[in-house]
Amino acid sequence: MAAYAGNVALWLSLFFSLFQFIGSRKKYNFKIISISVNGLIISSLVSFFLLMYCYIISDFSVLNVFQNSHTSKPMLYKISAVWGNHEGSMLLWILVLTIFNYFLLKIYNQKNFKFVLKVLEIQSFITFGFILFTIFTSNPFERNFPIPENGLGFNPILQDPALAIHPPLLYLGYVGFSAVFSISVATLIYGNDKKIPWYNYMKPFVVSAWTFLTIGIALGSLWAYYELGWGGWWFWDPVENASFMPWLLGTALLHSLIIVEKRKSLQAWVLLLSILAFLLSVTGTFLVRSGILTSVHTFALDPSRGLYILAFTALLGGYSLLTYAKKSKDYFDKNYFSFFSKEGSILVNNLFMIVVCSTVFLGTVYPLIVEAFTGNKISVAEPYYNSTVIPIIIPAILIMGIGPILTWNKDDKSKIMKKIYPSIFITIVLTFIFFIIYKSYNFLGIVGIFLAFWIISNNFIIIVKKIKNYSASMIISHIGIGLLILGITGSSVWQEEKITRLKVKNQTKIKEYNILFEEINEIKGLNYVAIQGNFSIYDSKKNFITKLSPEKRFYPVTKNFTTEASIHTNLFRDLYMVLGDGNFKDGWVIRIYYNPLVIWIWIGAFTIFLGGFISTIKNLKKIKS
Amino acid sequence: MMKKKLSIIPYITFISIILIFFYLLIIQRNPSEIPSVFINKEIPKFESSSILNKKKFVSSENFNNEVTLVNFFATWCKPCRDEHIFIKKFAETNNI
Repeated sequence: MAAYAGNVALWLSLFFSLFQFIGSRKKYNFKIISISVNGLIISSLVSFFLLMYCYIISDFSVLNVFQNSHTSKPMLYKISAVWGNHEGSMLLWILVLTIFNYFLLKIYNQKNFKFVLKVLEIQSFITFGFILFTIFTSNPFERNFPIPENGLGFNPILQDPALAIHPPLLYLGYVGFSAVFSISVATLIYGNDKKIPWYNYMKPFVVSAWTFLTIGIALGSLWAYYELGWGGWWFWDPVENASFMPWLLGTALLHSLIIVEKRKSLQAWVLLLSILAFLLSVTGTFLVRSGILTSVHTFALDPSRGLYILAFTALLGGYSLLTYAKKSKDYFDKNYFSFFSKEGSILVNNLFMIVVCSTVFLGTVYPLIVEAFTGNKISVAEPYYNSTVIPIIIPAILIMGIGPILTWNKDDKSKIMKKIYPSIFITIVLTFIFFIIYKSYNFLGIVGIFLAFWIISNNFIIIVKKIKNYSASMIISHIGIGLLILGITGSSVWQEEKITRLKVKNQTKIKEYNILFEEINEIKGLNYVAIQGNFSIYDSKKNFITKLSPEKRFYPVTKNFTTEASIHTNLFRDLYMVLGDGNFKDGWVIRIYYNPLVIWIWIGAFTIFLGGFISTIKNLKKIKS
Repeated sequence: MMKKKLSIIPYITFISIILIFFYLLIIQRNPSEIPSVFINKEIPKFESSSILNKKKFVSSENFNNEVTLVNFFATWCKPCRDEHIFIKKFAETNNI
């Protein structure tokens, strides 16, 4: 019954999106548009929660529930299984589209109604396309007969709290760029009417999408770190890249928008970035869901789905970029600005972001391009990204440190030096202290630590000097970036790995820590059985530090083995242990990682999120007033 | 004028990429199949430490001049476990 109603609700949302499209095209009055926008969000909410209900009550007459759930699964993971598969996640995708659609209606007033109608027309077209795709190629309410007694279960590595909330946040991020896309295309079509402050409308959407994308990516990375048991937190997998690319463009967009706001420059550039950010999100979705390339995340290997998304992407991209080619001249400006100014530094950083984004894009699609032209298969992996992205990022971060303290228009070069002397001094001192404590010298390490302190000290100087006109959100986010760099540098430059075989009651060593293998036990969880190794960790002075208990789990329903890493975290380093195969006679294979400063990655990401969140609220208030 | 001409570039780039994707979607291909660069080449000589017994593993001593199957796997990898049954049978019947 719930499944039937859910399907009806999904069809209703298709109807409302079409209704909104026609209504805003024909410029019906506000009431009718409002009905369709509200109808759309309500019907998508209903279909989404009805699918969730099917999961909660384990209704296996629904094929999607049967394929991805099981009665023995904990409740939280029954709920998160809704978006843990292709079909269900499409419902989440649609829901987010309609949520942003709802907020787009909020910018409607007497003066801008024609413009807003154009925005809603484009947003409803996108929504319509995705609902159509869901209903005809990936309907989550498809029935299953005869009704099986139990479900097939859910991939155990996805049963994790961080992964339960990672997709919704990520979707709020890159589906959120749909609203930015709609505003941009509408602005282009509408022509340069100076009365429409489109950049003010765009800002809360850019800020919120970027903020959620940041935290979404961070949670995904945190999950990969502790759940996959590989000791790392970023693998340059196509799916990771698919979320990282819109983030880079979003970062460029966020900063360029400030220039548009203050100086009415770079308008054409911002409009292009807005279009590309969403197109990259959709292209990313295509790459993952068409089966065109293999990745750890690839889930729906169905060519018809691939063709549909590709055709729809081509339609969206073709239309928007052609409009851009025709209409962007309305937004060209002849303002040139000095390199030594705030807008100069933002522009240079913009270019760096674009270059990084193109580099990542090239790395992601290069194997496909090579295959299309030569038939050869190649793969592009970490060494490519490390050797290309890092050198571009370094100058970008240097400029990022100075940018906020420069003035608009033109800054005096000699004054700039005066302004940055204190932070150069603090940075050098901090870097020096750091290396006295850590006593490990490595070129990339020194550069990374220097950059981290550079960003942090510049922002502290802004706070200490009480320089006016700085938003708290900017300072918080920038400090977050500094902390993030600290974590990234520490964990990638000084990570140590040890793989060894250890018998019970024997010990091994990593860095200054002694690891004693105490015992091995069999334990039973809610829906799994496991063997668990117990290890005691002592430092060089034989002080007891902690106990680590890595597990090897077996999930009988899906017949999956997983490894559960055991991690001891503090502000300086993580000790990370994974249990492998073994027996009492020969001992057990264990992997131990010493990961310095890794926690600062997530502290940094969360700080960035906090800054973004404050800014989102501030911008939303601005729109209301 | 220059700028005006440049603004068509995103469109052209986008369409070319879409065409490549489209071509790859319609031809017969298996994205998970990656041919090895080692095919028809002699096995490189290598040494490595061994986890099982503390002796060093030297490829030229251990492999000699016979047909040897070296399988890379992980204990947590389901396909590897499935494959293992097949490899065991294969070893028994083919003298490898």
